[in-house]
Amino acid sequence: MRDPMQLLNLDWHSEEWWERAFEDDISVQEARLWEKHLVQCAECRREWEALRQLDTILRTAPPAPMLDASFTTRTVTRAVQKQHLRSLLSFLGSAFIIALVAWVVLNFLGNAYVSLGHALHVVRSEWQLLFTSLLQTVLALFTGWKIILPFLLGLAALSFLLLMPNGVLATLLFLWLSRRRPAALAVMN
Amino acid sequence: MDVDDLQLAQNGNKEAINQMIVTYQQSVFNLCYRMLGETTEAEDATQEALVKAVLNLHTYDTERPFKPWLLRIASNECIDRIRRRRPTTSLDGMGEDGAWEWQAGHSPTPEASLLQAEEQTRIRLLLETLPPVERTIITLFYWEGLSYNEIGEITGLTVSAIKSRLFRARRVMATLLVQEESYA
Repeated sequence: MRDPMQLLNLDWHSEEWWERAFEDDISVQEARLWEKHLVQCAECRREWEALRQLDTILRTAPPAPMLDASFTTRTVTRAVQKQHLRSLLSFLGSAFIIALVAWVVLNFLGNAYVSLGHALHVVRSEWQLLFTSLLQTVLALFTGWKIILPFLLGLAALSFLLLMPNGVLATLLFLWLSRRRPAALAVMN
Repeated sequence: MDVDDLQLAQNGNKEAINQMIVTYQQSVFNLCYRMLGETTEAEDATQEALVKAVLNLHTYDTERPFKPWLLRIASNECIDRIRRRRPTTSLDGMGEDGAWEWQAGHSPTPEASLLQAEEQTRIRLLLETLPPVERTIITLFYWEGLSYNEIGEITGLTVSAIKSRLFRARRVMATLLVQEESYA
């Protein structure tokens, strides 16, 4: 006949079995066999009884003391105080971070503004310089016209001399064509 | 305490915070008392845990049970305190916390008080042999009556790990109990 322990594939001394047996997580058949084993094995019986005794001691332990009446008030007061302190610290922390970020941003923007101002100033200065120069040139030309008058008259005479022969030739051509027009019309008719 | 009250407490309502503390303070104290073994330190730890809970209420998910969340804060507080302690174990059978005086004030006879105090000391000495996490599991299982799943929520362990650690803790304490009796 085979050993019932082997039949059920159980190891009475394994921790797994003890856990299950102590939790009462075993079948009726297993429980019966376990009882038999406990009768036969003194070591297991001793340990089993000690575990049972311990379980009883823990389950029947006197209750923990009751907290005194002032405990709640003290705890609530402390909790609320800490909550306020935390809120204050969180507010101060947030304010500090906002101030820091604002300082960095404004500093950056300020620098950018200054740079832009410089650039605009340069552009404006150059424009002013150009405008002033042109104005001064025109004014100089206007006020010093007598100085450049000979050059202007020379330039006009030169233009006249260059253009006049062409004008004379064009006038003669026109006159010749006007005279030849009746004869040309007669030939065409 | 229902979800609405917890949401009010989350929004900083003093009445709701008061109600939360009244509802759970004794459970938190029971855990701290079993884990630390001293009334005064347990009271300090309870207050610290409750204050931390109030300050961190905004992190609590109202879809989940509140008690395991709160007890996790308390057990972490106790574990920190145990780890900060120097390894001094009182072997004289009497606590340093005035447990006797308290018991005397609440028990009908001095003899009964003495017996209770002795029993408390015995349990405290047994629990002190365990590492903090095992101590938490034993406390939550025996004195808070929590299920394995709830203990798992608090300790962050799986159910099988809890069962295994619970059994090992029992075994350690049972061995100590046998030794104690054989010396007696």
